[in-house]
Amino acid sequence: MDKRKKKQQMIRPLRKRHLQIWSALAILIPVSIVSALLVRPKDIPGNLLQPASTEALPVIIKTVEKKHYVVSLRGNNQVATQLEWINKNVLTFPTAVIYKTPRTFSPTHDDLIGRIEARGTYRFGLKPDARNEYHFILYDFIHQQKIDSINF
Amino acid sequence: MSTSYQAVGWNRQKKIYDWIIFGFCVAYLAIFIFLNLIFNPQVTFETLLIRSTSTLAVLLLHVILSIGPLTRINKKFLPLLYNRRHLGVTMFSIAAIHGVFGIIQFHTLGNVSPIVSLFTSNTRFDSLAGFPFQALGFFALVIFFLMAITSHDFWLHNLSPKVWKTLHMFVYAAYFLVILHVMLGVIQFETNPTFIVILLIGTTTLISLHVIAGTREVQIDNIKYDLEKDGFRKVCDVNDIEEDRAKMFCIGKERIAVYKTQGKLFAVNNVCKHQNGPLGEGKVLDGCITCPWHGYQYLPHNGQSPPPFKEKVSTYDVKIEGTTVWLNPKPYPEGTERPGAVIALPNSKGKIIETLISNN
Repeated sequence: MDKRKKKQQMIRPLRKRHLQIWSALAILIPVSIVSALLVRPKDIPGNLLQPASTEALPVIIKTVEKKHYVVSLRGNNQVATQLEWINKNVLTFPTAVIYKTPRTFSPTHDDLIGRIEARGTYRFGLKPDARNEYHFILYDFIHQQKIDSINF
Repeated sequence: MSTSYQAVGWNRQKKIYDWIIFGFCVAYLAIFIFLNLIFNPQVTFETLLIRSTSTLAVLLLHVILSIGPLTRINKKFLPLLYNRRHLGVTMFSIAAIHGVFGIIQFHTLGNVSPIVSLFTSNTRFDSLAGFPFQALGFFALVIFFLMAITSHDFWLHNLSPKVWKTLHMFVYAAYFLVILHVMLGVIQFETNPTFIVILLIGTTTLISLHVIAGTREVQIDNIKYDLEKDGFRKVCDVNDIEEDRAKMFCIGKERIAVYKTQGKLFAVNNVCKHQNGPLGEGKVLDGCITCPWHGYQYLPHNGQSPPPFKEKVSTYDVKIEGTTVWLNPKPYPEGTERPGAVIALPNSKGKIIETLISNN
C-alpha cells in the first residue's frame, strides 16, 4: 500500500517542479539573453583575417586566375609590393597559409605572407624582389601538404 | 495500453500527425533554403544545411515545449499532445543533422578527433563573448538523444513513469543549453536582428505559457475542501459536472477525478498509469474513462482497464445529498469496484430532490 501510495502521489510534486523550473528559467533565460547581447562585438568583422587598413595599391602588375581564387601582384608602379588574394569560394582546408618561396619549397625557411580562409579579398605586403620572380605556395600546415602553387 | 510492444502502434491519427510533421519540415527547409539563395546567394550548401536545420530544430523545440502548457490552458490543443513523442524524435533527428554537419564542417579536417577538436579548439571558458558555444549544443543534443531513444513505451514501463518523467524533464535543461548555444554562437556574429527578435518572441511565449499554466495548476491544487462529514468532503454541485466528463478535486496529496456518466457519479484517481496523464481532463468513450493524453482507458466503476489490459487506478466513495456532491478522499486499492452515486431525476422544476447514497 505504501508503495502504491507513493506512486499516486507522484504527479503533484511534478506539477510543482515544473512551475519551479520555469520560474527559474523565467529569470535565467532573460538574464542570459541580455548578457549575450551586451557582450556582442560592436564592429562585427566581415573578414577576421584581413587587416582593416590594407587598401589595394593602384597598379595591377600580374594576375593569375584559378578556379577558386584570383591572385594578383599590385604596386604603385611596376614594382610589386602587394599580394592580392581574392577567394571566390570558401576554402575547404582547415588551414591555408601563403608562403613566398623560391622554386624549392621549404615552409620552415620561406617567407610566410599570411593566412586565408573565408570568401573575400585579402591583401598582404610584399618585399620587392630584385629578380622580379614571385612564386607562392598555398600550404595546409595541419596536414603538412601543399594545396597549390602560383607562379608569376 | 498494449499487452505487447511494437515499434510504433500506427493508427490513422498518428499517420496524419506524422504526415503533417513531415510536410511542415520539408516546407520549412525548402522555404528557408529558397529565401537564402535569393538574399544570400554566396552561401555554401554546407552552411545552408547547418542553418536551416538549426532554425527548424529550435522552432520545433519551442512548439514541443508549448504543447504541455497549452493543453492545460485549453483542451482544444490536446490533439497536439497525442503524438508529441514523434515530434520530439523528429526534432532530435533534425538537431542531429545540424550537429553532425557542424562537426564535419568545423572539426573533421584537423589533426585530432572531431570530438576532441570540439572541446579543445576553443577553451575560452572565461569569456562570455568567446565562450565555446558548440559544446553547449553538443550537451543539449546528448540530452535529446537520451530522450529520443527512451521515448518508447517499453522504456516508460521498464524505467517506471517516475524515472521516465524525471529523465524527460531534462528537456528544460537542454532548452536552456540551446538558448545559450544560439546566443553565444550565431547571435554574436549575426547583424540581422530578425533571428534575435524571433528567439525573443519564442522564449517569452514559452516562459509565459509555462508560468501561467503552472500557476493555474497550483491554484487548483490549493483549493480547500474543508467541509467534512463522516469522512466525506463537500466538493461541488452535481450540475457542475457535465455528462461523460469529470471535475477534479485535490484533497490531500493527489487529485481525484469525479466522473458523471450513465446517471451516476464515479470517483477515480486522477493519475493515468501510462504517463501520469490527467484522467479528469478526459471523457467517457465507449463506457470507459479515456485519458486525454494517449487514450488509455479505465472502467468508471472499478478503475480497471478493460480486458485484456491490466492497468488499474484507485477508486473512491462518492455520494450526493440534494444536489451536493460529497467525496471521500480515502482511496480503495487499485481496481476496487464501487457502485457510484446515483443521480436522482430532476422534478418538474429541474431540481434534484432525492438524496441517494449508494456507495455502501
